[in-house]
Amino acid sequence: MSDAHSSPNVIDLVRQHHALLFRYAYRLTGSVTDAEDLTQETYLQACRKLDQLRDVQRAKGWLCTILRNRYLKRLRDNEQGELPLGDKLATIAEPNPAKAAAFGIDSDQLQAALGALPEQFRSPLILFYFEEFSYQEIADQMDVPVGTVMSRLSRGNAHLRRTLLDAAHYGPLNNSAAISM
Amino acid sequence: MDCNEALAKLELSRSEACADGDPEWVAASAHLAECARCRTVVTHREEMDRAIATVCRDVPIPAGLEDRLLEAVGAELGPKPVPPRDNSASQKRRRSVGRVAAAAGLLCLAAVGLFMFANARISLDHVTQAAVRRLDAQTAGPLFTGDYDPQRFVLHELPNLPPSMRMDAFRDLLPQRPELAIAVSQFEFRSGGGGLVRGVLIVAPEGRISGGPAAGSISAATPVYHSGISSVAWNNGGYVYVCMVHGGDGPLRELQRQVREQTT
Repeated sequence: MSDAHSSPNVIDLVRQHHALLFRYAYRLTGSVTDAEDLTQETYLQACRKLDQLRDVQRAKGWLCTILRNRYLKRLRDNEQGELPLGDKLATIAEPNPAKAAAFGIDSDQLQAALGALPEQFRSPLILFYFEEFSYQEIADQMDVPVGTVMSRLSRGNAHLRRTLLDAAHYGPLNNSAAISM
Repeated sequence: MDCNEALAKLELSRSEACADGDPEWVAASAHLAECARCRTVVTHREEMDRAIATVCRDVPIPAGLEDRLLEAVGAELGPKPVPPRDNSASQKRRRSVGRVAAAAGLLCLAAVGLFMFANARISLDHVTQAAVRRLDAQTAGPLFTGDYDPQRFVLHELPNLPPSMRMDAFRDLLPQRPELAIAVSQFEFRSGGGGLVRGVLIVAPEGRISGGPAAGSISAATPVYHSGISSVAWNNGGYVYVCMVHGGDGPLRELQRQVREQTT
């Protein structure tokens, strides 16, 4: 196992961070298949670029940056007409809905609400609220100023809450909902 | 500061970014202390954020994900790199010994190569790499030997495959054409979501393959992802089977699930 002073090792990085990366990938893509694919691509790229990681303590953010870049590349590729493989093959097991029952939130509703957000709003939300990165870490990963991260978080989260509450009160989410830029 | 301004500031300034010295933050906090309506809104926001965070983190991790990632990383890393040469004088004699050992090793390798050539055994990696090229080319046919007519030769026994899986032109292939030892064809099946999944199937006699898979059925095998291709290999009835698809191994796991459901 690597400590803070030892050389980074991808095997250790898999053991330590694979669950976080998979969750991030799933919430970005909404597909178990694509999330696992993206997680594997991230680690394979990490193998090739490991010399860029100087500090093991920053490995989590470094891996998230790779994963996000891979995801953005996929989005660009998809715009050219290539569909993600197996998009409809797998659906994620339903998590325990009781935890969010007070607000009527379930995993599918949340995923639909996240999916309706542009990526530049979705990523900071996932990273900050759900993976507990700091503003500065997210800013580093997204290569934007901290103020931009704060603004995107604020607007993205307000939109997320509003969408989920609307869904709870008025029925299923409208997938075409979009945040105003 | 009115309610809207205070709520906007508080929304923007949560967590560690809240600077105690920020006058707007101080004003918003003061407003919050005096305004019961805003306190209710903020409390509601925080409760909802916690609920959202709980649901969002509650993503089940697929069984075996860590093992599959470790396997893919292991395949990517491959053998360890040779350490740099040491040019110090004290190492010269050791290098001479090394040269003799290397020559002996080469002789051994040549002997092993001759043995393998005589027995016409091919590594599973070699077969799958060739199949990847075939997958990229979107064609079907024999890999290494013989002429192949997909209309004529069809494989008999493909154990544990669901009825919805269509094996193009393969029944009877191996029994009728033993000289066609390793063959590749396209296969397709319906996923649970209704999508059509296409891939490549390799079938080879066990005796032709070195380093063959240990799994005895498709459902017991572990899918592996590498360089944009996912594959699953198993050994059954004297033949090695490899199913390959472009992209992640989700379709293969779906196929395994269908096979398990059918066999149970």
